[in-house]
Amino acid sequence: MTRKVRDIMSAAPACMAPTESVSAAAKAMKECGVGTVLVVSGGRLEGLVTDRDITVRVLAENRDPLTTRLGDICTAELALLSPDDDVRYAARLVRERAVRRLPVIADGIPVGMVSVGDLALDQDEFNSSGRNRARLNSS
Amino acid sequence: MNAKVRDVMTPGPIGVDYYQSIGTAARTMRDWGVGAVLVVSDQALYGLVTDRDLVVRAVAESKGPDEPVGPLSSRDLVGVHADDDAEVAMALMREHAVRRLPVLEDGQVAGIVSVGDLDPLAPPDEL
Repeated sequence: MTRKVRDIMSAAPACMAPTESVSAAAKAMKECGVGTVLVVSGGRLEGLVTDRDITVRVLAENRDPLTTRLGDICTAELALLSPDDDVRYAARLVRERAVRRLPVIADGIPVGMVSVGDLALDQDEFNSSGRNRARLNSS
Repeated sequence: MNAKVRDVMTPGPIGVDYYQSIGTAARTMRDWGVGAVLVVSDQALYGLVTDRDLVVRAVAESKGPDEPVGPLSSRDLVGVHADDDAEVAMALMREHAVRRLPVLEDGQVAGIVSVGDLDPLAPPDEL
């Protein structure tokens, strides 16, 4: 079974400049129904910010969402995927890098996103359709 | 694998009071390494609030960290019993499109189970 990242990825999340505020990112997350915004500067992916990051790095620290910039709180070291990567490779990255969301990049442009939830539901669908769980887990 | 919900849940439910601040709820999530806390009012379960709720229902709405967390709660919670199979919890999450369920036992809340608890792909430190 060689499912590809393109088969399970979600749409590319919103891209915002590092100078934009946390407050603006929260509004984008709400309006787009996503949990991540990519931080892009000059066409280059600089990092990402998740809803969790806003909770832990802004609210819990009593920082002001209106004046805190995305560049100040984004996660810069990213694990990236290509749409042609195997889903099992994505699962391995999630485990090894202890990340929950992976940007999917094609020709330098963000084209999608894979989350732990996408992988879990994908696997759950495999299992409920009668495929071999042991084989999946041993990959 | 026939794991029970009690085997994978985060036990000893972590809660905040309805009138505690949004900032306090955020620090509770950070300090316990969880993505959701139960909200208690008059010693009864009122609802549940997630890290995402704090972002889309407070930050996106220009509410400050000093405001009470209670009004951000999700109510109408779908619960699962501690003795149910983990698969039951996964099925409930898919059916209701939620990622976390309060776990009930003897009429009390015994913990929370999240999609990450059920997911063999999740990072080990979150299992």
